[in-house]
Amino acid sequence: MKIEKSLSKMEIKHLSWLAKIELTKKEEDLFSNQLNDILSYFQKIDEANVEDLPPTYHVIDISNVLRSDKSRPPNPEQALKNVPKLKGRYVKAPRIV
Amino acid sequence: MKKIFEYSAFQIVEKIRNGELSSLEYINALFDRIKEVDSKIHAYLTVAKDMALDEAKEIDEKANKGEHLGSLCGVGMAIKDNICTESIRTTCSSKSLSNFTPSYDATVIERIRKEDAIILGKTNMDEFAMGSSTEYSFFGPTINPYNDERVAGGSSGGSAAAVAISEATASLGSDTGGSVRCPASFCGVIGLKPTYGLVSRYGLIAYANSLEQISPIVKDVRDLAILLNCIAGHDERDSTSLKVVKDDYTRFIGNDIKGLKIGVPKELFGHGTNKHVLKRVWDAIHVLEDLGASYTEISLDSLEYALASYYIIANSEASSNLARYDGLRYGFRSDEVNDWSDTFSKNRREGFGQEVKRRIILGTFALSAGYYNKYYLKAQKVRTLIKKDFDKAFKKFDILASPTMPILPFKLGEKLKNPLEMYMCDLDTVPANLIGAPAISVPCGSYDGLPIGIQFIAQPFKEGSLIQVSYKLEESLQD
Repeated sequence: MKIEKSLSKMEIKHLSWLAKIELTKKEEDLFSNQLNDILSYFQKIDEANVEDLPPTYHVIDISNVLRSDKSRPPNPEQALKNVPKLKGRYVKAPRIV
Repeated sequence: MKKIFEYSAFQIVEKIRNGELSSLEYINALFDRIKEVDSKIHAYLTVAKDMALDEAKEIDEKANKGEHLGSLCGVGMAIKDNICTESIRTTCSSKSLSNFTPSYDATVIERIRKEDAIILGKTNMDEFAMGSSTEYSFFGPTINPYNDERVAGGSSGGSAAAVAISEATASLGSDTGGSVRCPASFCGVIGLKPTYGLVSRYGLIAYANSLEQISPIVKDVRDLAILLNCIAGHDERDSTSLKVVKDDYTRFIGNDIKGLKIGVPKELFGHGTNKHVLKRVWDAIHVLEDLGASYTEISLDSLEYALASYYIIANSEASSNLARYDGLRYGFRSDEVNDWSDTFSKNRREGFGQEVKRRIILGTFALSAGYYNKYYLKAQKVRTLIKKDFDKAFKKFDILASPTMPILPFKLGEKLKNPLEMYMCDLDTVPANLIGAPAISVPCGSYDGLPIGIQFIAQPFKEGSLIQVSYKLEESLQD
């Protein structure tokens, strides 16, 4: 079986940007080898003949469950108790632009 | 004679109900046991002693007053740390959630509490349930109760080890690709992954939502039936929970297995399988044969693609599910740098361990433009192929049998350098998750003091068949 070298370090950098996970230089080097080994193994599915088959995204038929739109008493303390950085009753977010 | 903390759940329920045992005395005995052994085993991340003792007192009061006692009355249970528990820290064994305390109980927690079970604490796991050894925990590994140089299996290693060494009478884990069956096999206890959709996932912190199910771990099959009776059933808060008529799983206990047809797929007995594992598994199949079942060796060709397909799907779903951890409303938050994007990336760099990062990156790749068809879509089509193969097999056979794990519990650190080697451990367990079928691991002997498990797979909603055959095997091996 032909094994393609699938991921360059540049691509891993790009993927880490897409996934919003900063990687250290050491992790980039380590992942570059490990991920290529794993992807070579994943290429095993290339051999499978599935041309006429539909994908199975889910083994059961699922549909959205809707509940009635009833208001409940607010509980801001509970909602905010796990927030790491608060300013008063506001969640402190980093600069966006 | 058995010590109090060693009893099975059904024995505890019986003793509390007929006034032979005080719930408080028993729960105290469990906490003494935790104190005695957990510094070596590291099954627990958090113990909820005060809450548990208060609940035990309440149960004793109810018993004294002759009030109704639930089907799990007093039973001390350990809960995997990816299942939300109100007011008890729930970390997923991740630095990113190390200070997270949920404001609500998962549906399964509500259900076991309603039946008067007592939660002892939260158990160690691979971070976000990604792993097969519990070594990928931010808080350090869980140790195999049978050998302190070896892993407990994963990702529900803490839940399995706690039951194995009687730090809990029963536990809940979650199984995405074998995460309950693997540690159950390595720790010599029973673990069942139910049919997808049978048990509510509401309050389970998602990793791969089309594959995972909350799953019980117990000491014996009777306990399994009682616990499954309690947690199974539709939940309107979970769109993946199915509306099915609830069965009474205890009715399968003790039924004979004469005429039961067992399929033995050769792909699950592959070349890499340890010879001692093979021997014990075949011995168990012959025990079932002696009890009147018959077996046939079969081939399910598509199984050779199962592991690759599973990891592509699981990692893709993980990359999407874990996008929510931005460290703003909850979770680990680092110091602010530059803008939102850089801060978000830094939070995740510091909050996630290496295996989680690897899987998110792999999943992001499999879903990215240009690769989606080749990896993600193809893997989902392969899933259809595998499902068709199983559907055919289940037309001829009541259950399929195989080793749960192809290997014995391995040494700590042995597979950490090579992630692909760790993935290979899941070869025999992932097919059941891909097709949504129920599968169980039952102890079937040991080699050199290390436990070995046999796996049975049934078609969806046939948990009863698994309980029936497992009970018979358990009964025969105890004789």
